[in-house]
Amino acid sequence: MNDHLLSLIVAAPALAALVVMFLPDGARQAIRWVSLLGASVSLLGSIQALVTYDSARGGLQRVEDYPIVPSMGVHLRLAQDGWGGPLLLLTGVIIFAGVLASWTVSKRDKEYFVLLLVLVSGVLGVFVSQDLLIFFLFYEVAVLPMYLLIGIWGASHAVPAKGPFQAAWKAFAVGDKQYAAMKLTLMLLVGSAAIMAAIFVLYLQAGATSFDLAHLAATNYDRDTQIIVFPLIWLGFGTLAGVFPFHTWSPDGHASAPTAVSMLHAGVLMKLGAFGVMRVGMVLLPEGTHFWVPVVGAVAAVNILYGALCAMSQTDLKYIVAYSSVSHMGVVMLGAATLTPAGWDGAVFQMVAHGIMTGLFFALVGIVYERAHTRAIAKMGGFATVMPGVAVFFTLACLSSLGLPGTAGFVSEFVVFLAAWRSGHLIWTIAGVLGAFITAIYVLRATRAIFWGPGPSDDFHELSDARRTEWGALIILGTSLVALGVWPRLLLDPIDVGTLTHLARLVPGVVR
Amino acid sequence: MQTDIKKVLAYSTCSQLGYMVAALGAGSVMGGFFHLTTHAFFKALLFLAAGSAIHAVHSNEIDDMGGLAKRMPWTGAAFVIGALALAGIPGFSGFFSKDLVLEAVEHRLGHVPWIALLGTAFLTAFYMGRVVVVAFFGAPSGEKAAHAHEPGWSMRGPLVVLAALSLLGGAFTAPFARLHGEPYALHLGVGPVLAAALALGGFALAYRVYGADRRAAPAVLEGLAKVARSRAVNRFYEFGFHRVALVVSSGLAWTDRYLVDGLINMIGYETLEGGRRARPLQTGLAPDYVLAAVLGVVGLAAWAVAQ
Repeated sequence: MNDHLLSLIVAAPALAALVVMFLPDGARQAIRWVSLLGASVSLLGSIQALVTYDSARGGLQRVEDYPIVPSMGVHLRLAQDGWGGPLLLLTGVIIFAGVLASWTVSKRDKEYFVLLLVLVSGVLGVFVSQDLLIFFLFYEVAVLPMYLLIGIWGASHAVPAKGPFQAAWKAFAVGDKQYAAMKLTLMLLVGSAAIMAAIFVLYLQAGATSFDLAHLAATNYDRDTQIIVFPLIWLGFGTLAGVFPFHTWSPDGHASAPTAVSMLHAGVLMKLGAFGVMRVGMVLLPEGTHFWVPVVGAVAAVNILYGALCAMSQTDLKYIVAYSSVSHMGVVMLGAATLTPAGWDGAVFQMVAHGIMTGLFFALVGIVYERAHTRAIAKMGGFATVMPGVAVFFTLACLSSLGLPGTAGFVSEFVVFLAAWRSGHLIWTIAGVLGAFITAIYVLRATRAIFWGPGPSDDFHELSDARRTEWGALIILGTSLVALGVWPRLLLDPIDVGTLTHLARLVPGVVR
Repeated sequence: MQTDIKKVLAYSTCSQLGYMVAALGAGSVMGGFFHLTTHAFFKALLFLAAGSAIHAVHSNEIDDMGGLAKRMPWTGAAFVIGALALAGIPGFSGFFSKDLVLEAVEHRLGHVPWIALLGTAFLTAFYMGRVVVVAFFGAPSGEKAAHAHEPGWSMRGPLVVLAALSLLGGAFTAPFARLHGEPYALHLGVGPVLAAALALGGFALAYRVYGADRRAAPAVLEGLAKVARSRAVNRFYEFGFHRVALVVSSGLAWTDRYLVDGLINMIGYETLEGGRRARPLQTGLAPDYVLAAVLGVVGLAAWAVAQ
């Protein structure tokens, strides 16, 4: 049976964007409601897709196949594997909350929503593409609108010139929104170039007949090719996943981006990177993966610790959250590097858990920033007295961030660290757990600095709690965070099905 | 040496947690668990009774209390029962659970930790004796203590329930052991007798010292109190965080901003600079391009000849 559900999920935001484009400029309400409609279709569709995925049967379901360039074997081939449902759901939740959080955008709001929706269609497309070229196409659709979204709607600040590379400050206004947008785009495009090269090698060596991922996965590439191609994919996609030392676009990019863009970027786009490394790099190149996996795991451990330590001494709220993303994406890569079912389950679950958590964080940071007009936590204090709801949700996000049982963050961190331990990677585990400990320090310090203590000083007279649509965003994200924390099987069951299929390529005969 | 009644109880909890962990160390999960359970009964009782006393005199300081047992018989009785249970006086719940711990430690870990735990039992009795004597007996220390009165039944009720459990909790020992699938039999030996004697001795000493002078400060304790007041442990943590963790963190943050990211900025900058340096080559003058073309042709021809 085919209900074209996947096409609908992927196309809905893009169609909404198309409608928004033709709305008159002044139709503020219409623009927002059409955007929200597009996002709701994707959200509801992804819930439907997740719930109706037959875990007992497994494999690819809801396959849709439309030839695009038959002579080269390019097909628009959409299908949902075990990982698809949870990741679609994550994207649906984030864009729905993101549109709600963007309700108050006033500058060029039409273009803003169009770009936001197009970007989301790209993200959704990546998660269900079964054709490598289309996968890459969707990936680029997801990455490129970021340049405009940050460059036009972002916020700027100045970073003073210091250190041995000050010369560069002559050419760029470091910290400026256009600088951040350009750096992000250039770094990701260098990554894309590497991916593109890798894709062509894979395509040509597999007989140049098809880009179908299943076809490519069935090809046995020779060992040398795999060892050369794997790092291209790892670093190419890894740049977007914030892999050290190619993460530096992330703090500046996230700090400069407007609220919903930070939510989408940290919440969903970084996952595309990790997803790409696992789905393309690891699954297609088993020998290359086994060769490089010690490096991948070690770098992931560095990510966790380094990100957490960097976050601890940041004074800008958005930088704290951005560095925490660098740290938490390390957990995803660490889980992937264990090459065990539990590790991969944990990695994919962490994508969802971190996505929702960081989406919630950025939504809250946006609310605080809009009212306090500053992101310097040293100036804040006692905000809980005037914005109790925001304080509650911020604390919830913090608790998930530090891995408190009962929140989604606990499930993934626990599973990943356990997998790392069981697969004999003692040092990775220690680094990971230490990172989680440091996370507790910096998130709790930030919460205390912003919300607790005596009431806010007179400089902050515009503070107020969340408003209507903002409540909607906070509630949907907060509820998901707790729901997944107490009922992780909702996602872990399908994820596990996907993991076992994919991991069987790397570890023959793998069982739970 | 603490003078805040709740701090006494809090430090005491730290000490009793040590007992539980010692039991685990000796492999007696059941002993540790049972002590945890009885400790929950009597420590909750002690805190509630302390709260009742604090409510009456509006102060946490035991020096502001005194003679409360007369004015507040329920609270006083509850606190005394809690203190006796905590000290491990025979018949009270704490005696049975401590006995399990001590027995396990003696058999599995040897005599040195066993003696340390016995010594702790003595000290426990001593400091609880001090609080009982200073806060609940003797003369009231002020107006408020003299006019203290019992709280309502909503506060007395829980005290009664917990006091009953602290008093009779020892009866649960055998069922608790069955739950854990471990054999249990009441036994008499050096251990329990010694523990009971030490506990009574601790109370006696406390009565002798503090019964005579409620502000007595034995020299040994004075030294310890100095350590406690200096907040050495807290300072150590603060040092670890501010001087080590934060310094490492800001160092790394600087590295990330100015070295890792600086290098990436530099790559961008050098690319632009490279372009700028290469720009003069494009002069826009036709003769220059013709010259380059001619040189190219000559060069290629020379190469072809050389081949």
